Amino acid sequence: MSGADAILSVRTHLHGLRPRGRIAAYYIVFVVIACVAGPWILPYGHAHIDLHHRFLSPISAGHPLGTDEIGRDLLTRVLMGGRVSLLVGLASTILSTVIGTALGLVAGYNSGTARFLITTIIDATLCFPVVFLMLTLAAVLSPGVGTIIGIVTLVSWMEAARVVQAQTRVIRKMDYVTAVVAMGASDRYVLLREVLPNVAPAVIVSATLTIARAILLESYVSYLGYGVQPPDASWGNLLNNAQEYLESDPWLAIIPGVAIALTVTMFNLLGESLRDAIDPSLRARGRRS
Amino acid sequence: MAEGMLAFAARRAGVNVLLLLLVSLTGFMLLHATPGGPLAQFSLSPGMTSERLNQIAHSMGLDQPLWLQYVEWLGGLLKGDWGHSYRDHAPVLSIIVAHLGATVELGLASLVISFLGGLAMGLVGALRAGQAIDSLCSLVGVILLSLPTFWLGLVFIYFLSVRTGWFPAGGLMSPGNASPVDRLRHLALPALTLGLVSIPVWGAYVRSFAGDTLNQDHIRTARALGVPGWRIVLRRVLPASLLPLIPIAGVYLPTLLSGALVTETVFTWPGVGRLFLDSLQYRDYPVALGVLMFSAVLVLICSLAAELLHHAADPRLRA
Repeated sequence: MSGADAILSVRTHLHGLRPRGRIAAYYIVFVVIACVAGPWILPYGHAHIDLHHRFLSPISAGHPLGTDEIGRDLLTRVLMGGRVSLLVGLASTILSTVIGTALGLVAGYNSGTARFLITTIIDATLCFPVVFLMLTLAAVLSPGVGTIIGIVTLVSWMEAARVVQAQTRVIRKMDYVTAVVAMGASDRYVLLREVLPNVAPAVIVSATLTIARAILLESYVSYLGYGVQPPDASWGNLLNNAQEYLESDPWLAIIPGVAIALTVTMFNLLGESLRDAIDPSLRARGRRS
Repeated sequence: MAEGMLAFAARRAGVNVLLLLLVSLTGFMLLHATPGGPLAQFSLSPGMTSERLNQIAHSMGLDQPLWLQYVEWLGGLLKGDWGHSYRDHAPVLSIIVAHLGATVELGLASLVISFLGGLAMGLVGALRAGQAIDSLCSLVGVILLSLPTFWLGLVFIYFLSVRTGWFPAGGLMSPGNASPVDRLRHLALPALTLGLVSIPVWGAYVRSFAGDTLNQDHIRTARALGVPGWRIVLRRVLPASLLPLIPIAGVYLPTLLSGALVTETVFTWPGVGRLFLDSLQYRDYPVALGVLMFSAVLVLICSLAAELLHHAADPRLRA
């Protein structure tokens, strides 16, 4: 199976998604377009301060989601925050998927020191309370979008690595791989041309679930004040101040949180539906019952 | 057989000691080798001169080579001397122990909620596999898994505390009120927040383990013999699905600690998580490092204990 075949098969599977997976896919496309294009269309800059219109409640004239403590339009802020949150989610997922896949291939293909080393590092990273590790890193590094992408990557690559390692181990023992090796194929050829295309669907599933987790992790760190710094918005840091105004202006906390919860849910649903669509064993079970 | 288990325990303990060394080295280097380092806290105070700063550095041994500082700190760690807080000079270990009770209380309460919730959700899903209610359970699971803990906490505070006044919005107890009822009311919202978001973790495993058990021959035989369904679940499915959950409990602890940090922050709950965040904020590095090491030790001990318990409880693993 070549790379193009793999992509084609994923596309075929996309058509076979469960309804909730398709809804999730449509939602994600919608959110991405809204966050990218929305702030251009809306009349307010995300840092546009209007002290005459502070704490407007949602559905006010000109401010569909109301305004915050210094009169900034909340819809604009949520969309701008979405750009950052989605960017962090996407960038750290791409990075951690590439790193995790590479390490997983190596660990799954070799059986000696390399596997021991990589699995030990995976175990070590997994046994850490993630938020503690992220906060320590964030506290000593200078905050910013690049830093937070790096930090989220550092605690996210293990998922892809584990999935790829397990699959590689299985594929390696298959007859056609043995045949190719017997015909004199190099390790590099086997890994890139035979193993990689076959683990690609599993990698896509794990990447979709990793985006969901990455967006959530970014929101934790930014909420706690160590992530994206004001005046830049992210879905996490919009809630940073909101607790102060919870009594009088609860929507400042509720609305950005809904954006996080909904988007993360949709990425998770898409990931699960993709897994059901790609994994033939799960599909068979679904058909039987 | 006992030897096999001992060898297993010894091997795991060896790997764990290696991991701890790695963790301690990483944590120490992170906090000491960065700009400012541990002295940053002192250089911020007004009227600080560079001579005075050097004096402080000397008195704390910070002018020594980094590796020597690390070795001394590690030696102290092993002897139970975890250093002193920069803020109030209290011993780090006793500060951590003082904050531990609140975290354990929150952790246990949320564990009960999430475990019972996950058990119910997983069993219902497995028993009605492929039906609408299974699908609903998995949807609810995905949603709970996707909720930001801090936001769920804020929503609870708003609707169950600010609006209705049913529960207090934060803290461990009301000042001057030592009644157990008051403590439980303070515990309710944080425990519910942390418990709810953890339900799908257990639910997914229970669903999978119970599903495997239900497909086995002895269940089919029991069914064929006319044993009532609830009896099969209680006597056969439940015990068989609970056993493999034991090692998961060890894996689950890091997640619980991370969740506790966020929950404790939202509810001003005086636990270890908030202590960690506070010490980072004040650049109180001995305490931050101490909590980091403490949580790593706790996680490794618990996961080892969980695996040993699993070995002891499941005769099939002893072969």
